[in-house]
Amino acid sequence: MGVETTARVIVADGQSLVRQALRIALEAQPDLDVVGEAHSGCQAVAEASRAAADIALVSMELPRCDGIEVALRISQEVEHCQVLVIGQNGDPHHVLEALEAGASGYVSRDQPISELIEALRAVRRGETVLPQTMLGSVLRTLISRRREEREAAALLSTLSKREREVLTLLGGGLGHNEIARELYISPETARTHIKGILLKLGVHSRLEAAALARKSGLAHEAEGANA
Amino acid sequence: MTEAECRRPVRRAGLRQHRVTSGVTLVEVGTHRAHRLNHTAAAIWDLCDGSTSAQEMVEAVCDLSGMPPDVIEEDVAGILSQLDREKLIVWNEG
Repeated sequence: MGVETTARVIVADGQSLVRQALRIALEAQPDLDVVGEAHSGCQAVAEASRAAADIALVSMELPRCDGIEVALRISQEVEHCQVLVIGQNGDPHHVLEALEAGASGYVSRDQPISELIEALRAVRRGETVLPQTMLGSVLRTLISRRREEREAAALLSTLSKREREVLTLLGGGLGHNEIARELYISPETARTHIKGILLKLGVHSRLEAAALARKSGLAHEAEGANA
Repeated sequence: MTEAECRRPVRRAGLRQHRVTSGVTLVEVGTHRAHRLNHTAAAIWDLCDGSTSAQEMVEAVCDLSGMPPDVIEEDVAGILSQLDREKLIVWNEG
């Protein structure tokens, strides 16, 4: 039988009134203990670490570094601390960004406090939480993003190995002279490769090509290889 | 791609949608027959646009929840079959 322990929570919001209201509501629960408060993103990361928090309840609109950045930093820097982001209802991209940054859930400011408390408990149990009313739009956004990635990958599969190398460097912000130096080819050859890439991908600029590379994950592959 | 993967559900015409706290109520225009869907079923019904396959729905739910595909496949198939039984969707073939 598992023993339920009290969850140590930190509350991060730019407004002290909101922090205090959340503290009062959460501390009324026997299984939630507010062990810290933060008024900025950087402070939220520091507090989560200092207080050895189990959950960081983080506002999306924090000053200096926002909820997504905080989720990313806490998931990388603070062991065993889950992040629950509070944001405005309606933007599925924000929800996905928060989850992809490492947050365990997202609650809307429109939800009642009872749902926020249940969301904290669900996060503590290791579940992923998001506003029920946003489930459809989040899934739709995810599906459309996956389709774009698949289409980009299909287009990229038409490129030769050399063109993929050039595109990867292009995605890293290099110009044709730097690409030429990097690949030991002439600038003219690099320019020809770039023209060929734009033609095959059906895009009109290097910027569009680089964006496509990012969508397909090619840019990430390159970052991983360079790391 | 299997035949099942090519089939794409479409929301049936003639249904009026009302958001309620527990999910969505679909009311058949004309007969006023009501169907209650919880949030998960409502989200799946909402994805039935004739271009999204059941497989894409499963992949998205897996990505979001981190649950294993076999569990999600069963859940999504169950919801779609319930929507089908209640004639809330029709199927586009391929």
